[in-house]
Amino acid sequence: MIPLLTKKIAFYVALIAVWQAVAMSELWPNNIFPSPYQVVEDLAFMASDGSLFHGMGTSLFRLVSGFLIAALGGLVLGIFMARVKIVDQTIGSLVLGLQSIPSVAWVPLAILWFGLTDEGIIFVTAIGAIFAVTINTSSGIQNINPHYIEAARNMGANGRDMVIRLLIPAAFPYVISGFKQGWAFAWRGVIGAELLFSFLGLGFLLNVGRQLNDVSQIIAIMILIMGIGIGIDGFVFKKVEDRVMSRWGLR
Amino acid sequence: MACAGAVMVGLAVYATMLEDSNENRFRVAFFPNVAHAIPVIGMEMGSFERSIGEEVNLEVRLFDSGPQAIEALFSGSIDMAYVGPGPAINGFLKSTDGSVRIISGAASGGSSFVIHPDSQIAQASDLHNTRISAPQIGNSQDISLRHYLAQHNLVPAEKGGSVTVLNIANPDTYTLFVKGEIDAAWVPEPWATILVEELNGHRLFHEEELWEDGMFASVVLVARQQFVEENPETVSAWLKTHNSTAHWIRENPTEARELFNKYVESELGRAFPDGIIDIALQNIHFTTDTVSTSIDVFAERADALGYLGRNGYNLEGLYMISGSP
Repeated sequence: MIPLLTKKIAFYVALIAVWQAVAMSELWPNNIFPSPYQVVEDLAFMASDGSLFHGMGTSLFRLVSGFLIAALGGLVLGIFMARVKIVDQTIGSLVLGLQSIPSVAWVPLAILWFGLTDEGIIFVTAIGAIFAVTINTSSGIQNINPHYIEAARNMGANGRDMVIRLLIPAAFPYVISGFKQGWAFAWRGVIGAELLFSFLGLGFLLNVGRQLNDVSQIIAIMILIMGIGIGIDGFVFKKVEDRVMSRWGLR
Repeated sequence: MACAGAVMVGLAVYATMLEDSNENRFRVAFFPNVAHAIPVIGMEMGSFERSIGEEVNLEVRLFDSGPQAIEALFSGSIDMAYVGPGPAINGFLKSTDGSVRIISGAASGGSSFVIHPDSQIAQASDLHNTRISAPQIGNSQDISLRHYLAQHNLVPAEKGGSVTVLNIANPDTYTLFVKGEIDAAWVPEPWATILVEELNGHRLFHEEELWEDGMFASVVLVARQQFVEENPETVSAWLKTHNSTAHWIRENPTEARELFNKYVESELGRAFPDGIIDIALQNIHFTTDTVSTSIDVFAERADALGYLGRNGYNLEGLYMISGSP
């Protein structure tokens, strides 16, 4: 048996080798199909003039701000939807509808409402992520064993205790997967919005590559976007999710 | 099956149509901007169509930015384009074997740095913590603005500095100027004059004041080399009318304004106010001179901004003018 890590490394080495070979074959001119070496060179260049780190910093700031708003808003809205019937029957249907709107579709509205500002991009990010958190939270709470809720009531739990000490902990595995999904939507939302706003961040650097016909810069930024996505997903959400799942005895 | 068959037949018919219409097709791109008055007015007068003859199908594509026009040249969807020197240089250097080349000059001058009426900017050192707009990245005004910032030791926000450069289309600059969301704009005519006349902007300077002799290339004519080689008569007919139209505009500014606005109105549905176009036309010198010294300077500046790749550049063969190889 070959260990998993070895397989993975072999795969990526082969992928880069094939990429380099195709680039060297000059099947396509290298301004359209750059080699991996050129892409790395571009990353190094952007790192040396600082634009890479400022781009990452800007995008991550917007991502985290947007995500926090979505997480908090989604949690509150989700609890209301699960516990108050009229909210579920009215706002609930709207939430399902709104969730089907891709976050970049909010960009024109955000530009008119907020102008070319960080707030505009954070708005797009938050609105793209909030409904995933809402829906997951709400179904998590609806799936709580009703006996728990009755027991809590009998023991005299008031509204605040109920939410903080019962509903959220009991629904936590759902909430976490809502966060994880929301985070993925948020990251797509940030990059999409930055591309359209063309106002700083990694999406802006993608646009620069496009305007200057610089394909290697475009690919370099795409790889970076992927790296950050995998990184946060693997190191933050995966770990938290694993711990929650084992503590709640779901795995 | 029948459905798939119909689609296949449809595609085949469509493909043949495309091939047919490719015959004798001549596709030219320019912008509905005042610095592009040569093609705009020449089209309105019908002189380009007359000079290239009836056998050639002339098609006009209106663009809003040079980099976009260069993309279209690369993909072969246009044959010739009027663009600023920034995109022209970038297009030549990025095209395979320099197959996109300059075949004539079209205009000199015609951009300005306009300050918002609520802003206190009076000199370069006041630009810290401001938001300034310019058209697309790599476009000539963008290069001039960023060079100007660098000259005064100002760093743009994407590199951690204090000046936010917003690369947006000219009509969007107008909107942001109205809302007071930008402090200044480096824009071509007629937008510079519109910001001054309609929105009380303050013209800090004309860009030509920064150049030796007050001359710098603002629009040049670029073409795909292959098209020029395969259609020498069409291209030289176009250039002949291009030259005479430049001369005519210089001699007849009032008529030029009327024709310009007539064209813009029929294409975009709305003309610019006459007074604006009159001022804008005065700010631009229509010439077939490429002002090549200024193009060399643009290339140096673009390179310093990292726009021309990492491996240096060579402008040899950039020009393909009147029969020279």
